[in-house]
Amino acid sequence: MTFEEFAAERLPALLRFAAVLTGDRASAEDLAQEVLIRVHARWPTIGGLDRPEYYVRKMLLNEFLSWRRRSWRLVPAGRGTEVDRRQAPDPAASYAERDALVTELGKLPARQRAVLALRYYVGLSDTEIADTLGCTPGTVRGYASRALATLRVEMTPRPLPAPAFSEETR
Amino acid sequence: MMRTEEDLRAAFRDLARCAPEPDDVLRAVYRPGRRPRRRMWAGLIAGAAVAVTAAAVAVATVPGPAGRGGPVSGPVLRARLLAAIDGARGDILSSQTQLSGPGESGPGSGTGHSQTLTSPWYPRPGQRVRVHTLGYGSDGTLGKDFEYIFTMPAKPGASNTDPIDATVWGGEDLTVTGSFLAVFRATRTWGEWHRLTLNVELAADAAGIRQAISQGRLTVVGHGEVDGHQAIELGIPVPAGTGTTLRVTSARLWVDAVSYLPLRQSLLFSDGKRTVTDYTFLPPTAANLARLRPVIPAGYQRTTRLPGQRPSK
Repeated sequence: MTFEEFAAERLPALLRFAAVLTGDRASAEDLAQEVLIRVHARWPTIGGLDRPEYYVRKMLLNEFLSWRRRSWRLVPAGRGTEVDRRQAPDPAASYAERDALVTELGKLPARQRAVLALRYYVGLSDTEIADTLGCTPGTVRGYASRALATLRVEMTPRPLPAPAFSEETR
Repeated sequence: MMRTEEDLRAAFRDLARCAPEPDDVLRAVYRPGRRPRRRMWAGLIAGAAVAVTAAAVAVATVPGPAGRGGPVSGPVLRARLLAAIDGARGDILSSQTQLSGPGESGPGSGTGHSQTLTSPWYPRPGQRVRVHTLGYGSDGTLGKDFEYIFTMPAKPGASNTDPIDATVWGGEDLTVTGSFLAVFRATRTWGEWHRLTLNVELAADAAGIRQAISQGRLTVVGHGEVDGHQAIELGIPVPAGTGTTLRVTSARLWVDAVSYLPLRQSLLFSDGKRTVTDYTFLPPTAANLARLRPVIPAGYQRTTRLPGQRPSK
């Protein structure tokens, strides 16, 4: 598979993952660019892997976790949602609630957020997350537990739905 | 009210919908020099951050006559630098930043350049500040066209934790509430938002400048010419960094030998690239103040979505 073929097939899903990690389009673009430039430079090696998209996803994750969180940019830090609502009230209460949840997600420590993204967006098991992050499943559960408590999310015993990321990348 | 795991999944799906376009990302990958756009943005902050850093640098102490043959040195130079800054405090600063170095073969080939107009250049607490940032692509076309308006806070912000800024300038972040007007050329839209939280990399408060002076961080490196102006080259010591973190390895500021205002700043980074920012001071005339406002081309549609904000339902 060439880099171009990889990009055509896998990049959209990877960019969605980047957006989930970072919480906004601009940061996701920056994150993805940082990683994709390295991927492109090392494509002869990465392209030879069995599942290069998993490797790239891990690169995104590592870059996200090691990223300087402070922005270099002069950009609005807020989402402006209060303003938008004031100018054009949002009739969807559920959307407002989800907006609040997204905002709170953005305040989580990076590792907690990454664990939640891997568990609830990608659909990985705690063991797989531990393998990805290089820690123990117990540590993963600890991160998840603290994050869910912060977000006031109640655990439910039902099985996870099909993972969005994996579907897209297979 | 407790949320469910399904709420969380839905929130993530929402976030996934604001993913960047593959073409936007790949453009940086395929471009000569392959520089992440983030560094382009580093240039884009020049008007705010660099203008400020220039201010802080220009007034810092120049220790004695240690400069190489300079006609003015030590306390005299320091006094003149301070007087120049105070005199130009209300001016509009126009700064233009260009990135160069390995993989960047000069203007027009790399990440483009940026121009920022900041008014006033050295704001007092409580004063309204306007920053107009224009970002040009490698082909010279205008891409970013943003204006920020906020009130300079009375107290400095949190300590600057960025390894680059903090080690070189010791500047401070400002988190302010203000307005944001943006013209998005790519989508032919524009928007204006108020009461936004803005992260502004301004450090040009009086306290910061006085601190820079007391720290005596500058030395006269030499004298030369910058764009036809006789200039004094000032060096700022930067701490030796470790590891692979991008950092500034050398910083220089040229001030006009006549007006003592900043002319140019050059930052050399650990990856061998360099940003050069040229400064021009403009009087706050009506015509110049009008330049602080982005021009909204005819036919552009108004949008309520901020950059990076996920689509509304």
